[in-house]
Amino acid sequence: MELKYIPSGDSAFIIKAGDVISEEVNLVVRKLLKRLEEENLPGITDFIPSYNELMVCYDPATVDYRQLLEIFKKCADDLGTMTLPAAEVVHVPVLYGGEAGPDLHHVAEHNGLTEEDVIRIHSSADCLVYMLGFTPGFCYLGGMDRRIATPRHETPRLKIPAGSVGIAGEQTGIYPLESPGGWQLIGRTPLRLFNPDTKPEFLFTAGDYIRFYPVDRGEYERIAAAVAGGTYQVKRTPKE
Amino acid sequence: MATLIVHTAGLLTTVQDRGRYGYQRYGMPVSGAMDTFSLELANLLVGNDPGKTCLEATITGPELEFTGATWLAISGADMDPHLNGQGIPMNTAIDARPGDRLGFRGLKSGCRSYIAFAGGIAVPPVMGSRSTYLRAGIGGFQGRALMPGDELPLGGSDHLSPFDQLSTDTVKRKPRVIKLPEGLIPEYKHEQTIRVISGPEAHYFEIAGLRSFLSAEYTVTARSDRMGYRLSGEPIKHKEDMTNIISAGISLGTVQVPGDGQPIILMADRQTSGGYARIANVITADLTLIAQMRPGDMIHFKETTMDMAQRHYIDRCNIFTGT
Repeated sequence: MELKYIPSGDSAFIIKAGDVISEEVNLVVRKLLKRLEEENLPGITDFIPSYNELMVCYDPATVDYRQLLEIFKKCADDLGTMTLPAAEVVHVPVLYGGEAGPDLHHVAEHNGLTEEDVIRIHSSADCLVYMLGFTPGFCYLGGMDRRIATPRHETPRLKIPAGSVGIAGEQTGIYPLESPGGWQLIGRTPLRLFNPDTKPEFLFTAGDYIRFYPVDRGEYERIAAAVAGGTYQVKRTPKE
Repeated sequence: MATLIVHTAGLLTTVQDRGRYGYQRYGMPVSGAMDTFSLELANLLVGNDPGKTCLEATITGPELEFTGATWLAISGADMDPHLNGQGIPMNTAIDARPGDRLGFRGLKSGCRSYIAFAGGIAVPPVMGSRSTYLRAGIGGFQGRALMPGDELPLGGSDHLSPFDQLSTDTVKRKPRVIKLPEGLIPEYKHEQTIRVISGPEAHYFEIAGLRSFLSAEYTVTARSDRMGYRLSGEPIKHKEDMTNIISAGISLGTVQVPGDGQPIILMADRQTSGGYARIANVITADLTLIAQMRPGDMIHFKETTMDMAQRHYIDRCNIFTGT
């Protein structure tokens, strides 16, 4: 895999691992992130991994970019022999349909399925968290079954509650914060994707897999109460 | 401990430091001062570390009352500050006493003022920073812009000399003047030349598009905010079907160009990632100029090299470290 090194202004570098969205390219990005973090380089201010790039932000008053480039290239040589810790599947409870998922019926109808079919298909795939971005805690997910793909609403809703689970085209996702948006809402999770008062602050990290599972109203309320009380343990299992 | 009582809030006054780093991988914007140079300068004048927490006031300033003694300094936009009705100079440490009122008569230049207090503002840090991120409602003072009636805790004033602490209202007040190097404070003009470095997707644009970008004038529109400066001018032409990229990281000062050809400069509250072609990056040293521009002001972009850009930045850093 040939990496490309591209400056992004005077205090960030992009290391580009490919030109496509694929698990292979994304794996290189995540390996590179881990490898560079291990170096503990002075002057690095932040990392922004995405689908096919790693952006490395640095302070040019602390570290010379030519020196950084050399270190990047040296670290890149180690990627071939490097392995990442086993990926985890994060189990995400979802109350499908009703007031929590007002577009479930539309998604079913659009695809010639029943609502039960949509729930079954949506909750049977493991979706890779390729990256986070857009708003704090928002995951760009891969792996949704095309049989439930549905275009966005033409007119976005003004207010979508945090935790809403939706479909936009061939993508599924969860709204971490209350926000406007045009996604087809099929359900809601009682989990909090972002809480600045807990450690860690974010539920997901790039490289995790998300598996949705249906819960009824009673279970949803029980989990929501446990989340609010700080006692809920999110279920994580190793990815097979 | 001294506090700050907010009588009027101004258009948009927030608590900011140099920003929240380390969480961009989770989609958390950096936030922080739009004009970090002025923030650092104001802090320097009151004897703080350059990254201490300040107030960032936008276009119209707040009216504040002090419940205890402190030093304050104002850098950035000149909003004609006054203390108890008396005009006070910009970029100068001013001795404030209990009951003193700080106000602003109106904007004379720039867009954002930074008000530093000795010891900073003692709001609790959130994820390593005291900066306000308005969209998620976190950091700063209760995660929001200041409102009338707010009372903000000021940091300890341990830097004051014993003499300062003993001084009373009968002692003649003196601004504490630190001589600033000539030409240090940039002139906030309505037309600015802004230096850029070629961006990762410069090759997504037609030659004519790149020519437009580097020769036409772009106006700052009213849809500019802490997230980004949206400009309007001669459309920058992409090559066919080369408008969007796979969503990827955005750095401070990235200039992205959506399909309509109108550039956006990404600023403090920028999203961590975006899907538009990144034509260029504003150099760090010139971000202070952008942050002081208002709707209606004009920008002319000029290309420079990474080495030049870094030299300007490092020269500026040396002002604060004294080397």
